[in-house]
Amino acid sequence: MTTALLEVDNLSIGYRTTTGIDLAVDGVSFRVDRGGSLGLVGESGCGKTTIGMGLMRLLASNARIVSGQVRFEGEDLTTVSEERMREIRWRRISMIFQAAMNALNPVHRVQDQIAEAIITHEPGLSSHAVAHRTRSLFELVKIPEDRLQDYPHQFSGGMRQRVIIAMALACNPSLIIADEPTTALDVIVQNQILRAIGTFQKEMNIGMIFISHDLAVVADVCTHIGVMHAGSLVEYGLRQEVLDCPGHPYTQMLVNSLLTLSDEPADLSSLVGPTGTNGPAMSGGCPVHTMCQNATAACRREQADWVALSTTHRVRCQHAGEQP
Amino acid sequence: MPNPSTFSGNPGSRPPTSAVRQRSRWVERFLDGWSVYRKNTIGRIGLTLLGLFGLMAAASYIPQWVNPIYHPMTGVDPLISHSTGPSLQHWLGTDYIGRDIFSQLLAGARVAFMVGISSALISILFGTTIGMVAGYAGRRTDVVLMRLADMIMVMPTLLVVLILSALFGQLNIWVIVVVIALFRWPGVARVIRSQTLSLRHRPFIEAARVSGASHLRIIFRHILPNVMPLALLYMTFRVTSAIIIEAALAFLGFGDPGTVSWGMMLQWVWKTGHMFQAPYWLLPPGICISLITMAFYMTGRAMDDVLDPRLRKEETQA
Amino acid sequence: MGLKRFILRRLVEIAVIFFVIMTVLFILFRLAPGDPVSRMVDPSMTPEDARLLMESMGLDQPVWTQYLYYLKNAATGNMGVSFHYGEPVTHILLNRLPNTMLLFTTSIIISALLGVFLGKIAAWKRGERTDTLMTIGALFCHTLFLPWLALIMIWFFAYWLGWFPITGMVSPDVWIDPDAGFVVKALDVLHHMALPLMTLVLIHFGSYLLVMRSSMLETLKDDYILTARAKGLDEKTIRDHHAAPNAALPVVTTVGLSLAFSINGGALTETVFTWPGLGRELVFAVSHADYPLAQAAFLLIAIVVLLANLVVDVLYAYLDPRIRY
Repeated sequence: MTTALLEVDNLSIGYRTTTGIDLAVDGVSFRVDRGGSLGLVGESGCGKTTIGMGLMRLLASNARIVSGQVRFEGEDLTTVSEERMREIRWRRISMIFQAAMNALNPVHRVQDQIAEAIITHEPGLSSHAVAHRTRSLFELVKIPEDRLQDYPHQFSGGMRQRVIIAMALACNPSLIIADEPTTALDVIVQNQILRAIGTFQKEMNIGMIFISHDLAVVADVCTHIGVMHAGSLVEYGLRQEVLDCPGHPYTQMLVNSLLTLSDEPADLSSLVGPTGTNGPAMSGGCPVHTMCQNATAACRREQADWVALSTTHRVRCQHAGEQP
Repeated sequence: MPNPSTFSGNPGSRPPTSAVRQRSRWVERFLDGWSVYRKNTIGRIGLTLLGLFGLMAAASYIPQWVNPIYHPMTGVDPLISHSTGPSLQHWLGTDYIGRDIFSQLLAGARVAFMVGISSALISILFGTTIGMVAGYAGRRTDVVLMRLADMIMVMPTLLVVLILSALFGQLNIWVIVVVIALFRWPGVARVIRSQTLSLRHRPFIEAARVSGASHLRIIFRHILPNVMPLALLYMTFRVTSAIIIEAALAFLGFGDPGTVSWGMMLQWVWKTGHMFQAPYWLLPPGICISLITMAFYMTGRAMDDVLDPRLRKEETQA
Repeated sequence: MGLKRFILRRLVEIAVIFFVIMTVLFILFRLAPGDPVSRMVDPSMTPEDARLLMESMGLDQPVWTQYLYYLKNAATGNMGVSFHYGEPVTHILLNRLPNTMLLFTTSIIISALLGVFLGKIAAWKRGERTDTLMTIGALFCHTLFLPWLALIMIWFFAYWLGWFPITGMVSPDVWIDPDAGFVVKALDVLHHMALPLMTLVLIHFGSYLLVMRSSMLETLKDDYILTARAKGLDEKTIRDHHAAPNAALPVVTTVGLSLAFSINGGALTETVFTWPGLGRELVFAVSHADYPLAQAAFLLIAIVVLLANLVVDVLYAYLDPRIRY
């Protein structure tokens, strides 16, 4: 087995509240390989964005990593100094944000914003080299060169997203964390962006964590899929495994809600009860026991351990593997 | 017409209630706000200072009642006819013709309140009405009124009063008050207008319109109570600018010669060449002007903190 | 929209406003008690001179024609003769104009820069002692009464310490001296300008500081700040290069909104420091019943304020690319 690019081991992230610490992420473990991509799926509030922020150590001031390890290229990101983290940021791990947000500074030209990333991490480069790389990045994401001098507000949503992608690729990182990169875009543009991301990733052998609430999007581009709910990872496996044989009831619901043009109307019967609690993990019990048809007393009492459905596929359910 | 008492009780969504209910609602809101205000340190300091000045203003009638030589304008001490320092007889000393400075200071407090509050009231009256009309009527009326407001806002009030004083001679204090008010209403009007704009489309306004209320009734019965807190808040800012403009006018020598204001006192120090030798005369009026400005500002800020979350709460309830 | 068209449109607006002001002044002049003619023509002039002046200003004509003469004269710069100086009013005022511009512009620029710089730091160190000190300091200075502060400054720095001259813009001996070069004269002016400048800056920087501070606090919540952090930039770069340029924009707006207030302060400062500018001339003219001078001074100040507003708007458009493009 090759050494993973990124190995997250039992990571827990919590927010300080007046009553103590609420866990937004509870004991999550996964790995990402070079050239591989993990799709983290779940409803909003399940903690997937927090994981992304936590990996980069960009958490809000009232949040902190409570326990766990994040092994990346031989270092544990939870314990390195802030200075070292700044060096790692963007140079080795970069991020792709949602384009609808003000992710780009409105008063700087896009060329300068990309160049800034390059110059910060590779100060030795001549300005000529920096300009050259900026131009080639724009070529890569297929934005006309004459738009380099423009300001962010002059781009459409899709184009802005391409700029953000170009910026993320600027320093040749080994890992990219993409947080809902296609959420604000319309479907056709969404598709283009996904194609683009997939291409770069393969060509440049970059590892990727793709965070989204939309399983359909993740199903398109990722090699692995991780399903999250209320701060816990409930299922993890190869893309095909998870899609074809979802072991966890929650995953089953998600898969069944996937609408495709060719299928018969989706089977939504497995959606039962209220959509359950979300947000920071509540104590005790499986996080989806209120939604699940097959919930038993054991489910309400405690969260199950991992059950391996195959060497690459694991599920956290008491009744995993049992046939309904 | 549904019975008001069975209506689900959110202040913003209740239909027009009877006068008695409305009054008690006001009292309840006021007490509510007061309890929040009390906790605000800045507000407490501001109010304390204002209380102090209020006391000064009230006390301004006392000195000349005690002894006519203490009258701020005409009081002349037979023993002193020039500027002297603080003494037992004259706590802050005397001015250049022997008048008591302390009683002048007290009278100044009275004038400051008078000028400030009346000018602010007129400003608010004007500004609120225009703001409500502009926000409610919309389109062309709105554009015209706001254009007018913009033009007036650009003019430097002090200089305008100066020119008027050139033409019409020495201005009476009340004329000054009114002119200042006429040039300071745009600020209020703008704020009230945006508040009115956001209120215009609320359900209870629609309901009133549907039930046949005339525009005037809607404006004064429904919109006014809701913009009132904002208007009162802005009044505190208007008071400070009125006091300062009057003081500046008096300082330059264009104030009402019959009124003793702090600005007037500063004019006397300056023009009679005493500014270097008479700190007891130079310092108190200036300090008072600054403190009263700060006091009103602090009170305003505290009110702002009180009103802001409440305004937001009402928005979500209605 | 294009910057040029924007400027043109605003110039037209300014012309309209100015026209309204002139008309209102004209009406007021006629409404005021007393004889309007004696208001424009010095009673102590010789009858022939008086008659010539009256003809050139159309004062012997009916009101409507007078109005047209008034407009025409304003356009050609003939605003009458000052009673006190005996010279054409335009000549006097144009002489004063640069002095006011010098003091006014410098004070606004320095106040704004100081306010932005300190406000940026106050926001960054929010809640700490530096922040509290700066905020209180700003509030304190903002509530000081300008003429009073001016008097105190003169008393302390000029009278007591003797560091600066008490009045005026120039030292007569330096100005008249034929051997004194430009630099010497410039330094002399600066020496005289120091106190009025300090006074103005002290009064005005406070509000800019407070606006910048709250603007920064809002800006820090924006997403591109997160992007900047993710890029691995250090805190100082994020604050100065990413947050501050965006946060400074509302300060520019504030400068524009407080121009009327600043001009009031300018007039007061000029008067106390005997700085020979437009404001002081207006005050002087009013207190000496020199109507032609007063009217013209007021109109000229009005133009200055209107144009200053325009400059601020253009500056804002220049700084914010979202408006420019």
